[in-house]
Amino acid sequence: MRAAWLIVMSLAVALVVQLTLLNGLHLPGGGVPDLVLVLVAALAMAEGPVAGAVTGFAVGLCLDLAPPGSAAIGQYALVFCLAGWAAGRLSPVASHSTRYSAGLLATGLLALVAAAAEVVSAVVSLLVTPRAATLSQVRVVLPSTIGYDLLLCPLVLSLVMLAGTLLAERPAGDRFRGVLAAGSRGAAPAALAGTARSPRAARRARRRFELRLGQHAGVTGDGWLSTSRVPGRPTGHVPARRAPRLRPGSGVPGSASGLVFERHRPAAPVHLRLAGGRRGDGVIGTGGLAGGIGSSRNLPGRHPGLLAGGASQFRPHRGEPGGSSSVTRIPVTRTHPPRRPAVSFTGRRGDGSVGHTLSRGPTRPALTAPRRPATIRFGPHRGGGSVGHTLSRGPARPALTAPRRSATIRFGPHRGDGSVGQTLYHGPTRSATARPRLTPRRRPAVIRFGGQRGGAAAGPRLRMGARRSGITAAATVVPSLTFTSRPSPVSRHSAAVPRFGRKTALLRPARPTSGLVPGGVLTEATFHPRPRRTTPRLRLSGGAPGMLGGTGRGPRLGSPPGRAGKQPRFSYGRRSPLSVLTSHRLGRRLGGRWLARWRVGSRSAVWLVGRRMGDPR
Amino acid sequence: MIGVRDTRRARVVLAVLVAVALVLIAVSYAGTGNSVLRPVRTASSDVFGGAERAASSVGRFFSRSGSASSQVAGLQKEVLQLRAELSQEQVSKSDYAALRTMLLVAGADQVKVVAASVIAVGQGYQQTVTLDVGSSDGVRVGQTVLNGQGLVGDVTAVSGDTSTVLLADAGSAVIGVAVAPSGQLGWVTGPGKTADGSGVMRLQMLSSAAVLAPGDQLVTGPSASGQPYIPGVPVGVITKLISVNGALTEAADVRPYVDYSALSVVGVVLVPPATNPAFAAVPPLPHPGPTVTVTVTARPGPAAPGASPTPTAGP
Repeated sequence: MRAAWLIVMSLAVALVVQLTLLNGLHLPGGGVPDLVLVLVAALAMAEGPVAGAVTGFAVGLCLDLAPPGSAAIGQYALVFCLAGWAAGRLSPVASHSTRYSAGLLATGLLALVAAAAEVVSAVVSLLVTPRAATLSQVRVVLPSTIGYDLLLCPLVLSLVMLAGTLLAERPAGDRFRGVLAAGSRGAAPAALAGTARSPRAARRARRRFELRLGQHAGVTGDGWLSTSRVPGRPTGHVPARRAPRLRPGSGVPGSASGLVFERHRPAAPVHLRLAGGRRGDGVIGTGGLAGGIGSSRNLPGRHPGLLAGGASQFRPHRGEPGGSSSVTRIPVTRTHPPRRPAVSFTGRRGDGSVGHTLSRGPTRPALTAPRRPATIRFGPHRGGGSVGHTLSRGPARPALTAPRRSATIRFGPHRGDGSVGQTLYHGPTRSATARPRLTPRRRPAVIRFGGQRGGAAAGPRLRMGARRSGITAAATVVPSLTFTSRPSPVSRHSAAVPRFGRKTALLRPARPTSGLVPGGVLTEATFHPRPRRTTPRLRLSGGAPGMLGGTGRGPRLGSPPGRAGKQPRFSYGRRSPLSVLTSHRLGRRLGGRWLARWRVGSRSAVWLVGRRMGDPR
Repeated sequence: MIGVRDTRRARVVLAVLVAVALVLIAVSYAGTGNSVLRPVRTASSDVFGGAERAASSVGRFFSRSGSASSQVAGLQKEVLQLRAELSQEQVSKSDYAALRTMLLVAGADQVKVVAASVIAVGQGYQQTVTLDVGSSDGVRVGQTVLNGQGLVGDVTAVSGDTSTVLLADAGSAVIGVAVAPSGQLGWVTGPGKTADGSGVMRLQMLSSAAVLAPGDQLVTGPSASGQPYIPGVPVGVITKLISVNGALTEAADVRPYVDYSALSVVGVVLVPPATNPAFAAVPPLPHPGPTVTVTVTARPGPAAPGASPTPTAGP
């Protein structure tokens, strides 16, 4: 609240100073610095796009209404609103940069936003008041105005950051820690992160006074500039939104890998294997190999539901690292020698197929990842700490990428278990023209015994050590063993029951995704016949279907929760009424193609569906 | 405060705000005398005008070292009542000079003015200023604003305590003028914002028979009921003739008398003159003549210790 008042007061002062003092200045070039604009943009960099847009709109409206007034009310509200939003959107770029260049980058971004806003303002003036502002005037005045704004940018930005830092660093005011104006939302986690930081970071923080921008201005020692958007995370260096989860039981389709379409995939029976034998493993889509890549089944654009009846088999554990039921067509996966289970009680440093980076390229170097026996590791284990290690996909995020981690337990010899925190692309088509959208889900390591994939009706879950706070605080975490059956955080989103599920005994919907597919060809988006014997042979919970893997529709699951996960709007099983627009020639001419894209949004799979419907081959 | 993670909501918020801004622009663009936005503007003028008045008085306090700012208000009343001599002790030097020359202009015209100070300047490409007099002082929309040098502009909006003036050098201002010696009519358009602040106006004559010469002086021409500009206020002087191919009438560049980038004390004409003063208020032409320099040389002697060899320039 204090910070909000400070913001309002500073903007009001800037507004009055702008109108009474700065606009009256007679500077060479004809322009005057636009203090209000620069201040709005700088505050938006600290506060985010929404707050920036709202602030910019309000201040711009005040500038329109304040006595000399603009020709058209709303003219500066429009410009400043856009400027605030743009600055808020661009500020994470600065926070994700390396440490010492972050300030420079932030200043540069601010200058960029200010210059662009001046240009937009000139354009709006030209449009709204064509007689007062002519093109020749704009050509004369605009460069000098931008120049004065650029001079103002570093000053204003450092003042904003100084104010935010000082406000957040009041010695007794842990309640106000964290955010310049984010209120109490991020207060508690930020305080937690602040108290749990390492001694080294604390020492570093004491030694140097740092200016910080954004939500974590109060967390010292994390860098010159941090605009983490996640409350409670100390810096912008940990961009994880959801914590990686380790699923030792493997067999859950796409187990620990952060799959894009996790919610939409059907659950699969889970085998708990303590030995290495894989005899009864079902295979999904092995038969698909007969068709080969590029066979008629794999033509893009074919409806997956139409492809039922192939010779595929259901194999939940095979193929992909990550234990998913996704199917590979690469014979190299078969050439892996059988693995030997092993139990090791010592932490191994290099034992990190956990979090091993799998390439998502078409060449599948991921399959060359070393196969690894099952290990049980006790004790703090640094090398295993690459759980969640593969998060760095954007610009460099130094530090904190590999926090120390506690023991992990793995059951089930499962090579692909290492895809914890891993992003595999499991888009449905991945055709050559499709752009895969990689939306990683990072999760803390959570060991599960037989957890349902969707999380609902999960069995007892073993959590060892790696708590979420342990990751975020980057502190050494004492391993703790808890047996809980708490609902999974994902359980709010329903365990996906696909819409296209056909409830026959013999047919079982495969995932509409195909996993890593070389060449980017749609392979397994189909219905596959289910083998006769798919009942898990070993169950921890006495055969309850929802217990250990299971069908996902077990008795414990019940109906899906109220807030179900989003389903693709163009579903596979039924035709959308809008598809008329996209499939018929007349409809396409009427703009149905655009409509389809607009309607399905930009998510990859759905986008592709819409796109394909709009443009059949 | 406001969540920043939800970019979808952020987009919604942005779209709503942009739409509102566009609607506002459209509404205010549709009609300037719109009854919807007029009270909003008036109310906000009262609010912000107070702040601007306070801020500019603070600024004037610092810029003019004290005594002037507190006495300007008293001076204005005195100006209205006496319209006569002002003692130099009551006013700061700059204000005194400005007021005095303005009163000369006004006195030559026999008009009634109210003195005002510029308290705010428009943003961007708007060439407007805010004065600290409003409807409570008798200011109405359409009245002429002048200062000691000549025409400043006209009042475009009035609230209780403030008024907005569109400067005469704005690109959207058109001034009907009469050329001083001949009385031929034409109009002058402002240059708008320029790099050095002192733009050159453009004169366009009405009559094709008009003959212009550099050095001709312009005053505001006669207009119906003295709006937007009362007649007889000096505007500027012709500096250069412009020949446009194919043009029927003559055009010229005009250097305005008023320095629009350094306005301080201005006067709003409350009562226009009863008769057209014609060219009574035109400042005297600068007389081109040889500059006489008188040099006083101190005699070398013990008798005159105070005199020092100082060259003084005389007109």
